[in-house]
Amino acid sequence: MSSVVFNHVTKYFGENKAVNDAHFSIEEGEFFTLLGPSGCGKTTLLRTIAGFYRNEEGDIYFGDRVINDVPTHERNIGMVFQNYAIFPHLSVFDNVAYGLRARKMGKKEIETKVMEALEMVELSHLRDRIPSNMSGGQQQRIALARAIVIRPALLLMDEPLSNLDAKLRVKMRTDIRQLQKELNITTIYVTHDQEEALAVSDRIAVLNEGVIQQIATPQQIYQYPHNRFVANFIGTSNFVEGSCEKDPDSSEHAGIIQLLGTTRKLSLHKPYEGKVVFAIRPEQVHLSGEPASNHTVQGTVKSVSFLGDKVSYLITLPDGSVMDVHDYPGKSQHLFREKQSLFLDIQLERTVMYDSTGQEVIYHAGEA
Amino acid sequence: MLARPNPAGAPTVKQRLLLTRWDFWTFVTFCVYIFMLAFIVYPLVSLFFNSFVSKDGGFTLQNYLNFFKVKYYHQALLNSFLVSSLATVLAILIGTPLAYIATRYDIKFKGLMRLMVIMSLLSPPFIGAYSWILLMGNNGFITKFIRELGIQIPSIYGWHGIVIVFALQFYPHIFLYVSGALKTIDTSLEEASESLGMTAWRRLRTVTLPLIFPTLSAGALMVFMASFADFGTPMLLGQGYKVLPILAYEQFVSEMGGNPAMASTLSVIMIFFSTIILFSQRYFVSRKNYSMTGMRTPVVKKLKPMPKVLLTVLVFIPASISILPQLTVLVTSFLAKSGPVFHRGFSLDSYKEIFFRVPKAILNTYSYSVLSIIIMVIAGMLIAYLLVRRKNKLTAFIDGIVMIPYIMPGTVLGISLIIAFNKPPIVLTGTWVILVIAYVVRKIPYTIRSSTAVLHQLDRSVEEASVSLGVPPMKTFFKTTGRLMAPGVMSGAILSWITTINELSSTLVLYYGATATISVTIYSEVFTSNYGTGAALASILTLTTLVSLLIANKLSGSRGLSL
Ligand SMILES: Nc1ncnc2c1ncn2[C@@H]1O[C@H](COP(=O)(O)OP(=O)(O)OP(=O)(O)O)[C@@H](O)[C@H]1O
Ligand SMILES: [Mg+2]
Repeated sequence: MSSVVFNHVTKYFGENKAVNDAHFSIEEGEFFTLLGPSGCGKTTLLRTIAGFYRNEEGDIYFGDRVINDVPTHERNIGMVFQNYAIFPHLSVFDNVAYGLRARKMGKKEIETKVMEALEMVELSHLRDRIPSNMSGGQQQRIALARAIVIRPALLLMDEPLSNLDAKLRVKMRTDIRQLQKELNITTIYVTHDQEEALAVSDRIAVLNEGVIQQIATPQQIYQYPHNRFVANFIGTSNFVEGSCEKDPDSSEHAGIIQLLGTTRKLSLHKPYEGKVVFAIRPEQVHLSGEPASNHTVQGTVKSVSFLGDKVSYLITLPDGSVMDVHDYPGKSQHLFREKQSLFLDIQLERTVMYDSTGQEVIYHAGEA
Repeated sequence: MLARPNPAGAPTVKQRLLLTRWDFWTFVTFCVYIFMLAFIVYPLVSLFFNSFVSKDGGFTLQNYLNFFKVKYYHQALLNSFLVSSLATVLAILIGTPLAYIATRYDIKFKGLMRLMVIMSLLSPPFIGAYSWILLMGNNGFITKFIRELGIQIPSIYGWHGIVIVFALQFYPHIFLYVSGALKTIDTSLEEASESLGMTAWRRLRTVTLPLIFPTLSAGALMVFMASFADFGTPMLLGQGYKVLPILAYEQFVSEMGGNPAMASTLSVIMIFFSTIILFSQRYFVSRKNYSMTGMRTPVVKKLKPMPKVLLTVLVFIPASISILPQLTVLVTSFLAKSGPVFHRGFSLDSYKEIFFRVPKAILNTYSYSVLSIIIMVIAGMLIAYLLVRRKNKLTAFIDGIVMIPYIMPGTVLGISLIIAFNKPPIVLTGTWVILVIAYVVRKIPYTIRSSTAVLHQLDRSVEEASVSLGVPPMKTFFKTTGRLMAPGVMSGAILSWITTINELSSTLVLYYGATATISVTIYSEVFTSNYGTGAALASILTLTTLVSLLIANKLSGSRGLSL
């Protein structure tokens, strides 16, 4: 019953579609993340699921039940808010017990369940404290305990970690993921932090301006971004324009690519001719002092940043554009210096190629 | 799963309405509308129509024509404007310097001074006027004392007396508003001006005063409106000098040839001018509103002992003068007497007499006020919630309408309620219900204001968390938001409460023998020269006010007195 289905759901604010024709489903027990830039409609979508907003079009299903008109308090959800939303007038224990009391549970049962939940978030020693001047991390863990103790059919979290410091964020996200797996609660998680999304999710939905751009596993999203927006938003991509024409000698799916003065062949997903855009990840380029093959491109080092495990170079190409390249030098290897001239070997078969608008994938490695 | 074609374009208003979920708050909105329509809009409309009714029941413009033709009527309007304007100017002259000194220098006994100022604002009705008669009337203590020194001074009677009493009772509005503004002003602006070589005085004139102007004018508006609507003071001190509220009251209740239609006309005219004044203040302020971030709030200047004593004495002069009436009343209430005549020495005679003669009035005041304040607090919090958390076109309308009684003089509100409810479908005149309605309608704005202010500071997600945990909206309100609001609501509720127990002008129009309250009893005692009993009753009100303020202060830290 804990799957969630969206059937062409649209939510308006005035004339604007804050959520535009959302049409997908979330599996039972899944950790599903909504990811996108600020103002793209993540919160709106989440609040529509919670029932704080009413979708004007389409239907939302919990299992096979339409819940469009079910008020929030009857949806059996747990929610964790960005600013914790702890009840300031209640003790830690009473905060966590709040939802159980609403369910008219017996005293004994409440006691055991609350303590169990507090132990899960490692807060049982603070049960009688008033939460108002506890740390952000502690408050967020109370909020988490309060949401899971009722064993909700659906756990909703809106940027729950964004007010915490970086270290704590990493620990908390691991804890949340662990708990979610243990309890097998279907979870919808909102964040604008892609690293967080990639680290914890079963699947990610990338949103832009109310429209879902792609829904896929973290790996798929990173390796095969469906369009230029996703490629740009997830990780770093260098967008390089080239052109593509039909290969007269070969099957209809082969294309001849012109890119930065080199010519190569790729086997396309579909026939295409005209301008194309490549999304090239920084790690999909090899650097060397000498030309390694006949399709290397010459460039000049603009800047060098040493990042410990890798080195990030900004390299100026002959056409004046700048490319971000990551290199993983071995122990003995020298770093390239600024203004040094070098050669780039772009591993084109690993990249993704879009049509000129960046909306459609023409080529990517592996299966379609 | 069916894929449904997407209708193009945003949904219409009707579609949206159909999608709205009906919950507790829809129900509250509905109830508030019923209440407003019945007790604010309907009386107002009745009043308006009544002002066009001729003697034989037909339509006429004669009342309005009479107003402009007959000097007796329109002179009252001019009189009202004159005393209110002069009182406002005088109040500004007293209140502003007082506020400046009290916020910027570390004078002594600040808390006591504030309490005195607030008490004089919240004094029972026309106690000021009545005490000044005792002190400076033709046979007043002070008048006699000065006469014995061989100096002739004019008595307190007449328009100048009204102006002085108004100013002394209402300058606390200026004091409170300006203190607030001076505390949050961004001092770096003043420092910038100082660094540019401005002298202290010019700095005050070119930077500080313009910055506090919007707040000052809001305070001035309060003084003007209070003076414009006041009934008791001109009644006692006027001696034939008529202002509009008196005229309306007289037309309404006069035994010989009262004219309710003319009373309505005068009421409509009063509302009209109050509204104009209100909107012109808003208009001026909207063009001069400087939003201040209050980056650095001013420090309180430490003073050397001598200047400190001097300034302390200086601020205590107006504060003491304005509290003098209540002290006079308190002393008078303990004077020994036989019948209405005072003897030497002190006794509890006056108190014994009131508990014997008018216990009902005391009981009435407290029972009506307690009932009213309970309604006001609950309704005020619910309405505030609608205004802040359920913002939409319907609730925006509520915001406008509940504030209407704010600009209606009490006399006018009373007259409008009588005109609306002295005939079927609903007859309420002569009952205590109509008094409670009048109190609630007239005093609830204070509670709503403070409630909306706290709600704006409360985090909305707390109640959403509660709803998401399975607690329905109404229960959520009482378990979370309502409870968290309570301390902040109190600062306004205390004002509603104090002004309700002291309410005179609307009660005077609406009461009926058995429903007399303390304030109307004071009024009749003073008019029948029973000064001792009047003073004892007034002292009871003063004491209640003082105790309420102190309790509020205790409960909510310093907020209770900040109003
Ligand atoms: N209550 C509202 N009324 C009108 N417009 C709104 C409302 N809430 C959000 N919007 C608009 O809807 C769009 C989506 O907002 P939403 O809060 O869902 O974004 P978000 O993805 O959560 O952003 P963020 O990462 O900043 O939280 C924005 O353009 C926003 O301005
Ligand atoms: Mg958001």
